Amino acid sequence: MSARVLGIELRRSVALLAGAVIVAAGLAVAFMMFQKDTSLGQWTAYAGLMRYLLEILCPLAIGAGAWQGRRERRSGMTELTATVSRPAWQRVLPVSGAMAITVVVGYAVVFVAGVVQVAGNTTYQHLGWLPIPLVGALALIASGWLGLGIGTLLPSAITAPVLVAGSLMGLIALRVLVGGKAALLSPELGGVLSDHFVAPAPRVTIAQVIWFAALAVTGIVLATGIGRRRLFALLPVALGLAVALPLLPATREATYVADPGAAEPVCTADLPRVCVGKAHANALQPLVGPAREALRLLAPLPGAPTSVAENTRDTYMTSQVKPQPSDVLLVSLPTYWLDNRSRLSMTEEEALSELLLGAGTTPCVRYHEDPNPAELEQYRRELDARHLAAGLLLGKPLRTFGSEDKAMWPALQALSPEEKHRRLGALRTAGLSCSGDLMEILTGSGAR
Amino acid sequence: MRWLTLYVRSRRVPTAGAVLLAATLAFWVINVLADPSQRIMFGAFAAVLSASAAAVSLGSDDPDLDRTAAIAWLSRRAAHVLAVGVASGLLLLLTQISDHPLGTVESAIRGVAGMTGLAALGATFFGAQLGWLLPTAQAVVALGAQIGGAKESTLTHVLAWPFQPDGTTAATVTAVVLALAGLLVHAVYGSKRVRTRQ
Repeated sequence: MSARVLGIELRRSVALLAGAVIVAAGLAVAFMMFQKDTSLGQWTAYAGLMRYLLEILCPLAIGAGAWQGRRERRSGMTELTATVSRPAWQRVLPVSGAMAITVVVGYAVVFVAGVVQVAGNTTYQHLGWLPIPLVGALALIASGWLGLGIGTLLPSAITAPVLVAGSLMGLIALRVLVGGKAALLSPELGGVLSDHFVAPAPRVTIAQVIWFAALAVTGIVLATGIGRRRLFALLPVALGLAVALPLLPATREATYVADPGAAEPVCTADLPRVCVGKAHANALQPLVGPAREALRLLAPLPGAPTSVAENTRDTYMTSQVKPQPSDVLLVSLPTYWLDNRSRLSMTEEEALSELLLGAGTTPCVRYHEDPNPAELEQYRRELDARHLAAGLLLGKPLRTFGSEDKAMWPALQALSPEEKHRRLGALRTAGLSCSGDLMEILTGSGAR
Repeated sequence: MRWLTLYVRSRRVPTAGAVLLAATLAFWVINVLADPSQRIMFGAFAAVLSASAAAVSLGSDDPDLDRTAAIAWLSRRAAHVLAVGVASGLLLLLTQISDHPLGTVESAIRGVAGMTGLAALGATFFGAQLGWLLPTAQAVVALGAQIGGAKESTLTHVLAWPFQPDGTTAATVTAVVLALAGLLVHAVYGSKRVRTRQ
């Protein structure tokens, strides 16, 4: 392919327009997302957010490709080009190359828009996130080429709009309705990433590269093929599915695996030690005060913790690791407690009560979306007990007390200090190993 | 009758109609999987697709030839836009009979009205073949605002009007304004003159 033809295609085809549309739509949507998301704080989260954007950009690339695909038919050139005694790929390569260049440049422009901010915000500089946008760029190329192929196959004015609206809807349906394994065939990567200590599993990256490459080949085969030879286009899709689907993890949660670099502890030099993950190093300074205060308040209890560490393995405490060691007080710093620079956005008082929940233990009842009434009741009961325990340690009711807590508070507050310590100690022991009902232990109603 | 037959054929109405039917059916099939809270979104996308497909019928291959005919185009264009809206609206409302309706009655009417207006505007500005640009752009803007915007701000209600629940005044007003603007502007000016076949 000569550079001259590529240059002409860059100027004369829909490629430049496609790039411009991707930049415009990408920046507009990204800007709206930046407003309320903390993803500008970490590299992996930012790259993941930019992949989420592809749920909108890929359909646009498909539409641009489809519009381009009907060019020859529109200008009545089909028969003329068919008489040229050159292989079809020589004709398709410049136009598809031009489209690939502009969509990738467009995506890069959108990606770079937030890069300076992320670099300034994060304390965890690394390059492990690079495959995320690279796979995204491949997905965009595949979309453009697939559109080109379908547009050549069905050169109607309706093809492009139907493909855009259909694929916009299709990708959303893939995420919210199909879910599971198949959802990862979409260019997005598990929605907005709110855990700062994970990276995409390598097998997901590999499977997606294979899948999108297969789609790209399909597009080219459709664009170059004549007559029945177009049936060969089904081959790469089938192959891609056959290889990618078994590689993809079965559940959404397994899309991401732990990132040891992000979780590497950053600790205070002096004792008692307070540690956070490297990605949250900015949160260490504000956390030290409440953390040491929590250790001081917990000290009278049997088996009291001697240091504080961030829970980097399970930020949202959805898969409690039990029994929990008693000497380390685990604290979770989910994104809603952090600002864009991963500093604490809650007050020291809130941080202290959070550290003291359940007398310094992580919850036992796993909360999940869509609980049944019995599970919800169990969860609420444990949460109430955990709040009451923190209140007793602080010596005053928490602002987060529910109505149940408020009703029980006077009776518990009236207990003798020894009895309070005894019950809190028992609650802590039970919370560490998840044995027994915390509320019963706290109210003293359980059989002992 | 003969005039109508020729008109319908010159505007590719059969193709547009077939796509309309197929698209609504396809969306309804996907919608069976959805839970009720997602139906408004699916209905909105069905409206985007209907309007995009129908926009192609708003102009002929040779607009210059059309214009030489000394007939009252204004009323015919208005009737055409209205017919597009009514046809796609009825199709969408037909799903209300089933257990898996595409959106609510209100959201379906709102969506079809607004999207048809946008398609008519798009055809006026860019030509009938590119009439789908505006409904599609609206879908993208709405998705972005839905993902990124503040839930309860009027701006979000306006930008993401297709996805708002029933009774959102700002969304309804936006759709009505778009519908009226599309109907009026298209009736007066017609599709941009783009010759597609030599």
